[in-house]
Amino acid sequence: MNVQYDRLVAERGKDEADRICDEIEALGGFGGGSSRGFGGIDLTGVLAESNTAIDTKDKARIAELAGVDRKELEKRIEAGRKEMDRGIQSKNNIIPPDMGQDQNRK
Amino acid sequence: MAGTTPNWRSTALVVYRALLWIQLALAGAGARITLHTDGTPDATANPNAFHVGHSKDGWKCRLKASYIKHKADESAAPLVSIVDEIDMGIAGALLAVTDLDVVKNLLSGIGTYSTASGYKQVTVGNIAITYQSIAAIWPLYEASGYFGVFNIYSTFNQSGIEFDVGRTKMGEMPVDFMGHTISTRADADQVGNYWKTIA
Repeated sequence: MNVQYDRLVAERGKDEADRICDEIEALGGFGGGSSRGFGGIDLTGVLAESNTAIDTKDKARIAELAGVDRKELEKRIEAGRKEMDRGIQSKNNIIPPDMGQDQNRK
Repeated sequence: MAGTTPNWRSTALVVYRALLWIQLALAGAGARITLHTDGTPDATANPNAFHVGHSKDGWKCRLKASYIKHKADESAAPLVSIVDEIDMGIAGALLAVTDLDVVKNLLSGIGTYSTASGYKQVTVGNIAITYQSIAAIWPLYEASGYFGVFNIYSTFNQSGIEFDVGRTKMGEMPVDFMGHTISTRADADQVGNYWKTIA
């Protein structure tokens, strides 16, 4: 769910990459040129059903340009939300081992 | 008439370590960077996400504005103020001094990285400044499995690198990533965001 200009140029050529990136940046409110940056642009939040800042028609066009299946994306988002609600412990050691032991917390 | 119950908000504390990530993907209108359930950037949405390693004393997240105050002679207080400058940044001191994959991200406008058999190097000169999206992410004390995020959309390190080399003191590199405007975004969402995940 990431669009990055350099990768698109390698896949589809400069002219096509320019066209796709410019249109996605404009429709998604990313800011002009943002897909040319180090990290590219993240389509996940922009295409989510819950995002009311982008209308449905523009979401469909962004998904079409980027080759994203929006139904699959929603499934991933929902699965992620459920895991977060269950408080899944980190395999990457991000969450400190002493979390959850404080009696004053709700 | 009844009084008002104080709310001490005693769980809204920042007491856990933050990780600083750079080379993140930019989120669009109405969106935020995509996190995995463990608080790290989602690898599919942020394929280039890069963790900069340990810091000496954690990270200072900064969001301030300076104001121009317009006054009238007849009044001691200003009549109206307008925003002069927005200062959004993340500062700290990195410990991975000899990791040139980290260092190359700290020298925007002056450093060019290259590597071949036998070496990694950064050469120094005057080149174009490049910007990137970064974020400090930490677990919330108030809710297990939820995270606080301080994300700057377009930034570079304005401090360069400066470190001691010696036996009795560990080298560290103070860094200060300064936020810039992406003027083609919506007015209220051009520099960055500070947010947390909730149920």
